[in-house]
Amino acid sequence: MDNIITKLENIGVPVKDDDRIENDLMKHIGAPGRGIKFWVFVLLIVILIGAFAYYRQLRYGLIVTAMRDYTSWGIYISNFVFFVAVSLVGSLVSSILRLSKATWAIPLNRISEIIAVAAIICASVTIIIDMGRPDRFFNIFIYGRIQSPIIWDVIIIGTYLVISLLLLFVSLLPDIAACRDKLRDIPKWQRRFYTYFAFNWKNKPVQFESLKKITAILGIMVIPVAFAIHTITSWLFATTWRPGWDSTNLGPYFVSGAFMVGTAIIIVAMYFIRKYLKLNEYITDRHFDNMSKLLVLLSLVYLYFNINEYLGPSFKMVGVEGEHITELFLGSYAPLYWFVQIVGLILPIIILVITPLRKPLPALIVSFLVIIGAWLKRFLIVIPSLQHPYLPIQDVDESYLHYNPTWEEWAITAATFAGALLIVTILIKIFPVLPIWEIKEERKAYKPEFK
Amino acid sequence: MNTIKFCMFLACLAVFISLKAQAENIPATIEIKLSEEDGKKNITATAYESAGDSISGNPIPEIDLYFYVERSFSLLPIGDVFNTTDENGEVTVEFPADLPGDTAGNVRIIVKIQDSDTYMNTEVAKTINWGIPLNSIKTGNGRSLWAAGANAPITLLLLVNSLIAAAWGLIFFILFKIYKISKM
Amino acid sequence: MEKHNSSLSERRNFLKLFAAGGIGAIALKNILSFFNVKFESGEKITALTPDGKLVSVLKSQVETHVHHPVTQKVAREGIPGKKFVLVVDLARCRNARKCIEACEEHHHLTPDRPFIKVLKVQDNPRSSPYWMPKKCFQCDNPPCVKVCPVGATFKRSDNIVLIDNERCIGCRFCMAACPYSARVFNWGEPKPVENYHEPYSPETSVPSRKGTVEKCDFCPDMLRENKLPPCITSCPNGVLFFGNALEDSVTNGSETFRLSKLLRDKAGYRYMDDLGTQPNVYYLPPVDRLFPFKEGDQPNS
Repeated sequence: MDNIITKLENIGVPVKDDDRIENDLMKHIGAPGRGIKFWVFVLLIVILIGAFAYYRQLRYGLIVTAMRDYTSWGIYISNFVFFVAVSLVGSLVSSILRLSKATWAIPLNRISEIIAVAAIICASVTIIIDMGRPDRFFNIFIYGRIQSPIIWDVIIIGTYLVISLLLLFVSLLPDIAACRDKLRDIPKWQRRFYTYFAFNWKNKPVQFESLKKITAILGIMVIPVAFAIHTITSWLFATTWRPGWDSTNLGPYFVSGAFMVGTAIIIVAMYFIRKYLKLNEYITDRHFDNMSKLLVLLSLVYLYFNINEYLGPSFKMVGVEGEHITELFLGSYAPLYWFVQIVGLILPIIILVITPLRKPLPALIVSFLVIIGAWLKRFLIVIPSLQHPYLPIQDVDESYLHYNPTWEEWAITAATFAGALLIVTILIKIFPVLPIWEIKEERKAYKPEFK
Repeated sequence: MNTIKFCMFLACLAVFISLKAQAENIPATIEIKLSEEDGKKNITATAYESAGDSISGNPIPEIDLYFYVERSFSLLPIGDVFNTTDENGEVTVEFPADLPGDTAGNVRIIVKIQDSDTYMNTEVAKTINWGIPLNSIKTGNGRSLWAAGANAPITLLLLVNSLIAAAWGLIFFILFKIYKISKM
Repeated sequence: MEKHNSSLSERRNFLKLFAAGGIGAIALKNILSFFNVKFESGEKITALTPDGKLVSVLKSQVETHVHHPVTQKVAREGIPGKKFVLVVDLARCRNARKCIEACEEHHHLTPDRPFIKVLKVQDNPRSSPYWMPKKCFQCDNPPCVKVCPVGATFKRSDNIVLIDNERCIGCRFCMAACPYSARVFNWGEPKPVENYHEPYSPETSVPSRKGTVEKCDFCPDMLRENKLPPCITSCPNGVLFFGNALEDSVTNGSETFRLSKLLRDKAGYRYMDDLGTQPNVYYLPPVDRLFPFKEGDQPNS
């Protein structure tokens, strides 16, 4: 008996009764405390500063950025690629891990879905921010050319956003119903909100059966869509005639990198959610251990694609492609490049391979390194390539030769991050952050007598 | 610096030459005959001095005639570098067999006396269907990746639309299922 | 609305006047040539051609061009019966930069976003560098047109790739896609064009607009009137040859060659042809040069 209890606790299925689980997982919902108010306030300030920067950009044009001809895409595009990468995490945890019957990951389903939704929304916003004429956004629908990879991207982002929302919403249904039925000290609007979005959920077995079917369909369908969204994003680069982008490896390279950074983001989210919502019994050290192992595995895959991406060109050193590689390896981008490759990729593998270090705090620090590395990696993918066109850059103003983002670009980028965090915060605040009904189900599956 | 001086010298020379040419310009006329023999298309031009009102004066020997075919932006020279008339004032130039004309194959042939020391600048033109007829350019692009959205390749359209149909078909199926759940 | 109408009718009247004047001039010229009278008006400018010939050009031919915009629909189709090509004779260029100036004036550009660049290129360390004038290559397999999400840039039947800056959304994908860096962007508010009241047409590309892409367009509004683009006629060394490939003829304003013969005899090539973009700009190799290479005042080269 002891044995089985330890086992259940290890995988995050506490041996508690249903009421206590519900209580534990819903206790954070309700009137916001001081901490969260302050946190939201800070986020709003960052967003406001970004909004002011964007106002300046709208008024004066993209001249307020450091982008110019040649470096015609900047940190907006690298930030966009980063957010698209992050959004893949939803499919990783709630689909790939679910389909591979990794039941320990069940408590992470909702976190990953929430992050996916927030990231994909912010990716869409970022790409609109990058437009020179956002007022003509609807031209995309009026004059859309199916031949353009941007249109493929618009289609796939729309599709992925809807699927991610459905994935999040469907698995929320029983928990929204629980909020509606169990929460007492909440304002009237919130109760009405739950009543409306619970969609008349009555915990009927037929409803559960139907729900599981839907989740299964969505879980399978989200995988090709998730692969497609990041592969198509990589094609925005691979379909151009640019040294450094002209690679058939770019799709899997982007997708593997995305899964890696997604895992790191989940670890960070797990750490803070467990800390601030006091869910140590549900998000256990075992989760950090498993996610760390997963991070090592995905980092190794990414390392493999990195070697593929850089070995060929650096061996051949073809013309401008060679200059681009030299610039990365030994030139002005070398410090950034080696920081990303060593601190953001190799070091995490080394650290997390060591069993005693697969604990919450070291995992958190390593995950931060991975996230910073991943963001900078997208910078290195976008900008140096643009600065190495086939024809030499001559006869231009000094400002065309370098790219140092302006405060407006940094402010807007920071605002997109704040926006993503705000979406995550709000969703966590109004919904149970761990899937209550799935945890209860899992508990029953382990110990039938609890039924 | 020397180059500039040299250019200025040349410019002065040119002005001098052109003034000289304008000073002694005797009116002239050119007659052209177009003939085809053994698949060769020949342009025979004869230069005459214009005598008063009549166009047939004495033939002009030893004068360079310039043969051109009219193109959009300029006149394309044909024949040799110098086409000098014989004692009868006549010179023959072969029309290049592979020169394109308009859609009907028409070309406008122009023969000129130009920058001559003694004769006035003169030109005469004739249109004939000696050119290779231009194949009528098909209007509207074919289907291609660089064509307008309406002319996207069929395979691409089929692929993208079937993928969209599959994904959104499933999405609508799921929305319907969710609706059904609410009615259970 | 009324104002709009009045300006429209004004324009119509102007066009009528212009047409009438043009017809009158042609008629007059024909009558005069019938009487075999030398008809030349205005000043003449003497120019030195690269092969040492002196030619007289009417000053009226050098005057700045008045834009005649065509409608959007017409602008998308291209001029029938034409396939425009450009041949650049690298042996003649000495970076005089007159083409850049003429282009700037014609398109109302500012120096920070030139449509033409003259690059210093050195093929290998042992060969002498040469000046390479470069503008849009008007490719037949245009990467920029392929990637445009809204069809703001398009390929016409006369080889020209144009941009409609009223449709462009400013995503700059075309700039990333172009391997020849031919495109420029209006990062800020472009210099306003004074005293210009013609409606916008992709063929004139005036006025420029903030947040949209621009590039060399072979000046289709001039080509419609069988006039050479200003860069061709302004070149003091006759480097640039322009013409209709269907007529197999190119001219730099003073000399005219058969395109096929010129490319065959002088080993004409297309820059980076192996990219498969099928450019419509040809280069003649920099052999037997007219000028020795001299370093210009190029910043940041």
